Amino acid sequence: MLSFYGVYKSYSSPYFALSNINFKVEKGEFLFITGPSGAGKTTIIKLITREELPSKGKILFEGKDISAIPRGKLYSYRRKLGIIFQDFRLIPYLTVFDNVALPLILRGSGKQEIYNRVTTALKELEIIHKARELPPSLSGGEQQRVAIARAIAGNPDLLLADEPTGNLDPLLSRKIMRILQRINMKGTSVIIATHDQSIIDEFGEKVIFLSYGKIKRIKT
Amino acid sequence: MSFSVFFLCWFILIRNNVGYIVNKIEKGLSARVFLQDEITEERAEEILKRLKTLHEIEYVELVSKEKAKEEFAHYFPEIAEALGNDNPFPISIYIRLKKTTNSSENLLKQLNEIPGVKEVVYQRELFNSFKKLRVSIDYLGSFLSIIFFIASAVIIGNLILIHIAARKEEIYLLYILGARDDFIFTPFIIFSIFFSLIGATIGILFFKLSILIAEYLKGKFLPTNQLENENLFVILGLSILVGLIATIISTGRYSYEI
Repeated sequence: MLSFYGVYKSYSSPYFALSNINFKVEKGEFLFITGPSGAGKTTIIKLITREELPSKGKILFEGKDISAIPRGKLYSYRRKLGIIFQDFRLIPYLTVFDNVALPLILRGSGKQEIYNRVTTALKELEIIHKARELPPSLSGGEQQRVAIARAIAGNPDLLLADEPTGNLDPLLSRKIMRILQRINMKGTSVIIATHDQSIIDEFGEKVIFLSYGKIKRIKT
Repeated sequence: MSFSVFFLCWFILIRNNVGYIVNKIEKGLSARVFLQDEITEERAEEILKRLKTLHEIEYVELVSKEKAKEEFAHYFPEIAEALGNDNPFPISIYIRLKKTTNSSENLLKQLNEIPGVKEVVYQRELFNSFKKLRVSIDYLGSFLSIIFFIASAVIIGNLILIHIAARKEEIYLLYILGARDDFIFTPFIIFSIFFSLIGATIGILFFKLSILIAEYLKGKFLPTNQLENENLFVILGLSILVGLIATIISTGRYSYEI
């Protein structure tokens, strides 16, 4: 489904944030990308979402080079992704329901479809009772669940999570991971960038270890 | 935007009025032959007959002292009233030249040499002066209008950029979630249309108010031709277009960052 071929990324200096990155993610796979801070985990996520372009190499999604997608058509590619940010990035003046509905509104879904999908996602994340609340009134764990609900409401092909448990306590972290596992078992490919070793030890099936922008090893 | 529209309305109005005067003068290039104060009516009639024989002249008309005073009173009623029964206006002969007349200087010389003629005032100098004035107004008015509208566009563009900057995080998120440019920037475009419309309307209202004041002071100013409503709609449309262009440039600058 997703392939990195000889990918390099440099930010206007001789130093490479990523060097010679090669890996594949098959459909339905659950992948961890780990490494110390500055290893390049978030850079990989940004390359996948096309927030950044590789300096060298190719990134293929369903066989198509995402660097070649014209700017005007990027929205179509991004709608196949679900993204969970470390800092949640919920819109504070929209209710929980509206935040989760956002990806569906953007793709022009009908009212009934939006209602059904959002309700399903909120129920799955056990946060339906907070549907009318505003994000600032929620706890960190609740906000992260809303962010996950938003990411899955549109049935993405690929779910990306950048440090999804970074702001959460260990108990909540495991709860979130089990939710992501359930989502993966339904067929969605999941890529999680994290430096939380305990999570990787417990849930990691396939893990890419990064160090100074290079792949140190891949555990399968 | 209000000031730009206000200035443009006045520029068009003044230009139209000067153009009207130029056209009116051009239609009948004329001269006034002022006769000496002590001249008799019979001598005036003789001069009139002589002028009718000149081939450069298309039309002649004797303007008596009373008629001259009436013409003056039409434009300056208060001053005419102040004159009372006095009539300082001389007898004159209004002549309209044929348009093909090129040798106006010789004709003027000829007219001045007629005994009984005090002065000949030829409107071609006046026509040329108004024509030059209209050209100057065109250049200056157009230049200033363009400058003011560019300034308006810059202000609107910067206002939009400030709004975008204030919502930068949100816009970035929308892009990552798969929003298209039109979804994100349509609210800004609607805002700029509304903003331009309000600004232009205020400008037009101030213009209308200033016209009312000019009408009230009509006795002291020349009468003004009104600006047609069609012109006002065009100006409104132009204002919206300027706002739209400024917004599209601003949003275009931002959208390519993601």
